[in-house]
Amino acid sequence: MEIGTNNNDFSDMPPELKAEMKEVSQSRRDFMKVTGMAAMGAVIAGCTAEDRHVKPLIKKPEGITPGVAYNYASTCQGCSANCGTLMKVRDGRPIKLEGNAISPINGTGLCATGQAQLWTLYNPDRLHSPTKGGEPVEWSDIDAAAKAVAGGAVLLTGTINGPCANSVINKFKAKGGRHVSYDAVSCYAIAKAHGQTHGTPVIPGYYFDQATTVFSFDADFLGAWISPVGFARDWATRRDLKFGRDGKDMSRLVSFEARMSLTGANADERVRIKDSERGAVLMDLAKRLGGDLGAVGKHSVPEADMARLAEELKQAGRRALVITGSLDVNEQLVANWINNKLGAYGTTLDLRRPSRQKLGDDDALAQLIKDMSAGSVKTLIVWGVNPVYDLPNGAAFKEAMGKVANTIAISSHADETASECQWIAAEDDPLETWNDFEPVQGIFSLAQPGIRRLWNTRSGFASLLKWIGDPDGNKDYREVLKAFWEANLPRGMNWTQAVEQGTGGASGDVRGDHPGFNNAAMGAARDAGKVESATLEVVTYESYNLRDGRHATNGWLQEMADPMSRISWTNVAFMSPATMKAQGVDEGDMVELSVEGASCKVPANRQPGMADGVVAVSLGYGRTKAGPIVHGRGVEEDAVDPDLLDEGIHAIGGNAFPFIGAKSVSLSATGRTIRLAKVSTHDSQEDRPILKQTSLEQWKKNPKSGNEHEIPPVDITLWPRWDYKGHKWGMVVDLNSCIGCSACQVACSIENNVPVVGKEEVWYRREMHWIRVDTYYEDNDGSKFDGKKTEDINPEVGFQPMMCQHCDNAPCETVCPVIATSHSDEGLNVQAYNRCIGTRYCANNCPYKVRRFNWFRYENLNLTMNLVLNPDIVVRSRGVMEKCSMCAQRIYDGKREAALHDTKIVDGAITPACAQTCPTDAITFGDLNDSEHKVAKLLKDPRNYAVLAEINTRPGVTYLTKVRNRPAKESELKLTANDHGHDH
Amino acid sequence: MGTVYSKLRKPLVEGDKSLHDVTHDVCHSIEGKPSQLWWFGFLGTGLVTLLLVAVVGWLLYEGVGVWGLNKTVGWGFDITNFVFWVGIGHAGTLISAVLFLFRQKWRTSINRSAEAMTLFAVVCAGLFPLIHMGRLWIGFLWVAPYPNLRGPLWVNFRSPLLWDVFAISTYLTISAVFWYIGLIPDLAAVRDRAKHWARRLFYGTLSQGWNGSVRSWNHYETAYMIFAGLATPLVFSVHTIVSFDFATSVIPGWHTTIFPPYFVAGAVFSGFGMVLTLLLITRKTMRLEQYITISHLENMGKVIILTGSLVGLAYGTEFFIAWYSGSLYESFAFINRATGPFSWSYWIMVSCNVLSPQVLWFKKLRRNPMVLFVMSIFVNIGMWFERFVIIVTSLHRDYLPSSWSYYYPTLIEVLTLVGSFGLFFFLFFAFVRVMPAIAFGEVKGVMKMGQTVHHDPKPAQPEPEVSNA
Repeated sequence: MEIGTNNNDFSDMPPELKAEMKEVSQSRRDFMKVTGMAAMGAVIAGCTAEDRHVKPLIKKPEGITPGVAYNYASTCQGCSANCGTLMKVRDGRPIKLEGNAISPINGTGLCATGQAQLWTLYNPDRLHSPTKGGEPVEWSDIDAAAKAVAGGAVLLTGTINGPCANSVINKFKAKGGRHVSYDAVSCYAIAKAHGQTHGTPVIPGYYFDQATTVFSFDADFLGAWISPVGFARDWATRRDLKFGRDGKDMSRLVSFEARMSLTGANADERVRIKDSERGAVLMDLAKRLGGDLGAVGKHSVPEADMARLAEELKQAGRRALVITGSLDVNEQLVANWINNKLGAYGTTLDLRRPSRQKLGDDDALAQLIKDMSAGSVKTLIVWGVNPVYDLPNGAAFKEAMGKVANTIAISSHADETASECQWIAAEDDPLETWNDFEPVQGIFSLAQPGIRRLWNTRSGFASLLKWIGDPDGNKDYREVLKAFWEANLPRGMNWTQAVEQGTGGASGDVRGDHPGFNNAAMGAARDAGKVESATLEVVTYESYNLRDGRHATNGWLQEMADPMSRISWTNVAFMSPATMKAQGVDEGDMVELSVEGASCKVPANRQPGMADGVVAVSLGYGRTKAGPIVHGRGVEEDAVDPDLLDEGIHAIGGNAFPFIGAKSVSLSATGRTIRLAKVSTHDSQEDRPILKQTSLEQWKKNPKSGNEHEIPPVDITLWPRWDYKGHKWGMVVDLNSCIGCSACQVACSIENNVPVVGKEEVWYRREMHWIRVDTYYEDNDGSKFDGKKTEDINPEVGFQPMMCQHCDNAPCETVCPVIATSHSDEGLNVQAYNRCIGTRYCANNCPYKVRRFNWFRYENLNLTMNLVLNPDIVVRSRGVMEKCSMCAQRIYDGKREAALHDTKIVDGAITPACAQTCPTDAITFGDLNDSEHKVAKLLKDPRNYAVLAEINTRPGVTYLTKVRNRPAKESELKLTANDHGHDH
Repeated sequence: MGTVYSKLRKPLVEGDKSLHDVTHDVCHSIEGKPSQLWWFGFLGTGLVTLLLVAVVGWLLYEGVGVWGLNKTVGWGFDITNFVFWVGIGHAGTLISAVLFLFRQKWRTSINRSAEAMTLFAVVCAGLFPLIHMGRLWIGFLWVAPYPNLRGPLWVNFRSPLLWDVFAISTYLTISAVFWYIGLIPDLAAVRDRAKHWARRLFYGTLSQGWNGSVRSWNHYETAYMIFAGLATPLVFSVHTIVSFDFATSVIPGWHTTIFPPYFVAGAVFSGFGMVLTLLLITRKTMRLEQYITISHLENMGKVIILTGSLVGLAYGTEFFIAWYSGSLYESFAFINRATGPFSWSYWIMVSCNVLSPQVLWFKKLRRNPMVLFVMSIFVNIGMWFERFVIIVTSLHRDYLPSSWSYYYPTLIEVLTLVGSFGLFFFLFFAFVRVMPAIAFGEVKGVMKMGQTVHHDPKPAQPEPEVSNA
């Protein structure tokens, strides 16, 4: 049987299994059995042999042991970054995704969105077969219909950067087709500006590890911009103070923004400007660097600050990097000019090895919509994009689609656009299919399936090839890909190696001269410094979880709270406290935001640190055809408290895409208030020494600065002490590296089968996350932070991952009446779920509040979703307490592995899911008893401290102070002065 | 027999009763047809008990999530109710055992119902630790230290919750036995008066062949004395151990060494509050005003003002220590109690427990049943809120502000509390129909039979007023 072409041919199978196969979703047991075996067949076939048949495992295949997990290299398609991944596949089903260490894009890191792609794979809301007008049809029907119209059709896609993929597109174009690509969150302005200034319309490669000074104008490179995992990783290498880095080397980040972004939160200095002032500030900087590019409009940044910042750039020279996420080409031109003036091209950004992660052409898209409206497009094939939802003028696009005679979608969901099409060719999930990518010029990355396709779906490439009548259309797309790459692989690499490694290609330094700067292009930027401000400006941004909205059906991501506001399951209208007051709205009030021709309803929320007169709304929410997304308990609609849901907005927020590019917005209260599902409602540390921080200057003087005031615990205990004779597992979290991205949280949830509980339960403060990222704000003048204060404040933000601290003197252990939680002789605080009777006393007595109780039966009610569960971890029943185990299963694996080979456990041999996926290496795990382990060394770092040390819990998880690259604050100096007083 | 009054000591039973009158008055209420008022109360509270069954059933079916608890506030109404009912359960044994040992004869009219109340309160209290468990179906077994096949896995003797299990079960057992022993002579009297064979059999079995001989009385009184001696330390130990649930923890607002005496005082305070409420109802509905006299009520009022003041002192001490300790977290916990989001509950507690008993300084008000009734209700409310304040306000904002939360009880929780009152009163109504509500055997012992006679033409005047307490 050829995979994907005919699901009813089981000629090789025994009759019993054949019958089971036909009722594949009848029962969980059968389903698991069959898909497990079938998928294993696919995996084996995919990697080693040419045998394309599904067979029961009567004979154990060589190299595959049931119950043992294998890693397969692939490529993440969660956003346009195309990070390299490893799929952990066990018994034929992927159960975990991790960064591919050899990937030059992301290394071992993978963001929350990337981690969560497994949900999309197993989500039963996906299309199960091709459809026509919403009704299932046979592939032959849709193929016949599409073949008739495919020649001369217009193909609308997102970025397609794979060489083989593009060869298919070229074949399509050769048959008279037209290809248009766009990115929902566009970076077209960057490419366009470089076309004008350097003659190459590309997005440069950014090298944050080379930059000592980064000025970011609304480019959220730590959050969602182009390739956030790789950028964060590179940036963090310049910030890492572990192991005695010379402090002078630490880079500085200055963020100019209106909203509070993840990048802004991590910036050493945040300059609040409205979007309308951005051009003027850029022009001002350029002017101070000696460029007379045009008039500099009036902006709000004080003269002294501008002079100082310009000087800073000058000092950094070619080690500076100025980036902007602006959609305005003129502003991009100014940024290019500044980078060029500083000599940064070739050092911190480079056009010789450009990014190919966003290849969308907005001009071509505009032309297409024009053509569609004019009726000159006969056939439209929409593939993998959702323009009706994610274009600013989505409604216009929908209308224009009405004038297209034939509309076909290649999509895995009947989303807003696909459901408007006549035909939908059900597409494989990215984890079920072959594909290739070239995220950065010269670097390829392959995607291979980790599971046999779950439903009657097909690769989009296969569909396209079939429809244009190409002979390859009758082949499995793997064959096409293999043939292409066998001819095109870099020298010294064969197909098997390429599939095994998943990525390869260009390495080392770029060669050749960097393209020169064309000063003449700057004439166009003459007006970039003009300021046209509005009373209420709107800022849209890509959300950190749902990104451009394609992950709206993903429960893990919906439940992952926004790092800044800690709100899950909806987007909100962020405003500064003063703006909230001026607009007369309060937290949770539903407001209607309208621009010309569009509006959306979202709840309002206070965001301290935003520029006044600005409302910020994240993209990705407000999907109307995202399927029955998980809400309440399980998937029953009726489990949702109607009070929580506003008519029409459901659990999914409002669509902010129509606001892209809008300058001004009007806001009106609807008179309705909803309860926001916040995982944390208090954003001040209340002057408690929980997240400790200092300035670089102070740290250089005294590496213990910021951490001086540890109150030594009175070390008495009623019970005998533990002596850890063998291992003593522990973690050190570097607060200086943590950027708050929450990848650890999602990774942990997947690794440990942590349930998604839904909006109502989150509102009740019952989210189950074993690791959370606490966000604390601190007033810029050092006084106690009050988020409701309407005075002008520019708070500093800190992130602190908080998980079970595995205390030596664990308060939870003494109070459990049945010893369901106890101490291992290796320092782990272990939880025996089977023994737990659910008194919740342990959770009450936990000073870190990291224990999570199963208030209801949270396990998946949907059987397909059960495939995602990690078989190494028990699914906890109702009434049981659970919490971080430091990935005990991984520790056991590591110990077994070491015992098998009779070696000691080397540093890095065991990595919990959170530490594994962290893009910035903020979490270090290891054996505290082994002086060779990094974690043991970090324990002696002067920055090391235990949270709440004074209550003598003696945690196994400790933290390293956050060091900000900015002058010391008065309050911090005072602390140090007091400390000296103590010493004498 | 002539009416006999002491000038110095007022009689403990009013109305010039003969011994037969006493037996008749008490037994009549369980022999005749019950009054409409009783039926109303019995069936009404029975319905509320059914409600309790329903909400607990729903809880067991759905999970603890039907309550409003969350990751930060793991205990709310459940343990509040538990501590509240345990506290109520203190007065009975205190009245029976402690007052017995101190030879406080006025206790005889009220000890029986107070003991019954204790039992029922402990039953209600015991319900909550059971249903608060996530997995009751195994939990109730696993907290018992019984020999098992799980190898070294045993209960955790370090856990205050386990100490609770022992403390509560011991207390329940001793209270029940003590109550039952006290009942035996009265049950025998009821048996002797019984006309129907079934009644004879029932009360005959329960009275275990009591024959009223001097020998029997001698044994009885020795046994009673021994049990009083055994029960007395329990009065103090139970709530001390309950307070350990909190005092041994690390949570600011819980971790307080003052808790054992503070909890015991509070328990006596709330117990007397509830006894007062019940007796005021009983003496009215069962027409026992001559047995449960105004003087009884007044004495209880005095205990209430004493314990109420102790509780008030404890509130003050907590604040002082919070400030004096210099601990950031400790001081915050108390400032938060009085001014934070749950300050409303704190101020309800203070008004009910510290302010409302102040009326008892005035004799006139102390002897006014209506005032006492209203005040006793306030004490009940206040003491419930005391436990709520301790549990919820300490938990909802502890160490890490990121986890601070609020606690919104659900309707299910409120109905469970209401239901527990239903169960309590239901059991009490059943008790007064089945068992003699007054220990008439003992009452007879404190009546002034055969003592020095002062011939006085008039009933005793209130003056000179001498306390009986």
